[in-house]
Amino acid sequence: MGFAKRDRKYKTRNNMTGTLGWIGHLRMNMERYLFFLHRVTGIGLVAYLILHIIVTSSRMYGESTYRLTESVIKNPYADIGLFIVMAGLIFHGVNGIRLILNEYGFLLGKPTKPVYPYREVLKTRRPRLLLLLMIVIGIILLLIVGYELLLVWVI
Amino acid sequence: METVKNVKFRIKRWIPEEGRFRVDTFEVPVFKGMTVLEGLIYIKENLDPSLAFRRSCRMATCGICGIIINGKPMLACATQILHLNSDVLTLEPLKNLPLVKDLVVDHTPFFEKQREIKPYIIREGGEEEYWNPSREYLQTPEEVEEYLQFSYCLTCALCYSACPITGTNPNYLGPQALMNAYRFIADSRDEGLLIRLDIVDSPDGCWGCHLAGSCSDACPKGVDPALAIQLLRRKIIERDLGYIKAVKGAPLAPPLPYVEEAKEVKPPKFTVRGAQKKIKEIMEKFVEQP
Repeated sequence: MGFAKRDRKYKTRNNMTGTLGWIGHLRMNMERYLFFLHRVTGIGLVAYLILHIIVTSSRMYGESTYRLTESVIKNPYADIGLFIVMAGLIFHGVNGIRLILNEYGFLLGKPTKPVYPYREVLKTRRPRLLLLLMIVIGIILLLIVGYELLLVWVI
Repeated sequence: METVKNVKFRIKRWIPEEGRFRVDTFEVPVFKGMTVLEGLIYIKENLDPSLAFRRSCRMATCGICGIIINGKPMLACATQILHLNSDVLTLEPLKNLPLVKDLVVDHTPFFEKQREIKPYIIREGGEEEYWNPSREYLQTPEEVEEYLQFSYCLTCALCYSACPITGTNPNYLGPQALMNAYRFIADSRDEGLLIRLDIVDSPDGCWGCHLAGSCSDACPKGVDPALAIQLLRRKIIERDLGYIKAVKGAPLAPPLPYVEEAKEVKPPKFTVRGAQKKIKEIMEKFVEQP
């Protein structure tokens, strides 16, 4: 009995968070949510690109085929989908500019003395102002896109 | 101690014999100022002696008691139960590390990655000085402040557990190792800048970071690994643009005048046996006197 117990292999697991761990839990910092949205919009844009190539490649089979595909995608629901894609694209682009600036060490400042209360550089004034600026630019672009898409169906 | 309220501890325990998790619930009477670690010790002493968890210093210095409390990696010893404002605490072992038992995880991959970036001062051409140091290196207080924040790391692996990139890429060096690389790069005594930049300049190194900021959010000592990784990237860009070629480390302190004199003075021969002899002599004198 004792030997059997000693020979038994104890199981282990790497316990990786995996893809679902991108969102982690619900009490996360701001940048983690942005990271998650950036990844999701990136995947979404790749999916849209594939769809877009399929739609436009219908032109290869002659003009009548393309007219047929056009008649299928020309409806308000497709435009709502297009608006969501554009929102994802704007978020991805605007957040990408913020990431490029921050990831090369701009607007982050120097390390400080570790004195309580500890300072997190991403929660200081300049990165947060950059984030606010990007949110404002994103909302303005989104309003322009929404207005353009609305014009097609209202007028 | 006066009990304020009862708090339920829902502990997600790893059962190594069965290869699965089991959730056990314990009710712990909480007094004012009680930490999560004290709650775990209460459970081990009074409710379930088979509960396994790691702890040593219980004052946020050793960094071994890191667990996930209500979904967030924290040090059990530095977290007060009443500050969490919750009647139910969910405790889990740290993520991204191999499980051992209950709340205990194996830190080996974490430490191996730290070893990869050579976490020690590299001096080129100073082999003899490295192995037999005779004098200290000169460093101004301003130069110390360049890396002081990053040297406060406990190696508690909370950042490693919080990072979403380590969760999907097992080869990613992790926030702690990259931060440690920058800590030695920013040290003015160090000359291993180019060696370390070659190690971290890869998709598994500092380019794997996507600035989720979770490492800095989880850090119990304000070390801010997210800042260190971005500064590391800046160093790589500077190297690629040709701004950095080689680094000259801080100079050795000049020899002090009294050091040579001190070498000539022989240390007193004071052994235990000799001391015992002396004490015996004194005692004998003391006894003879009256």
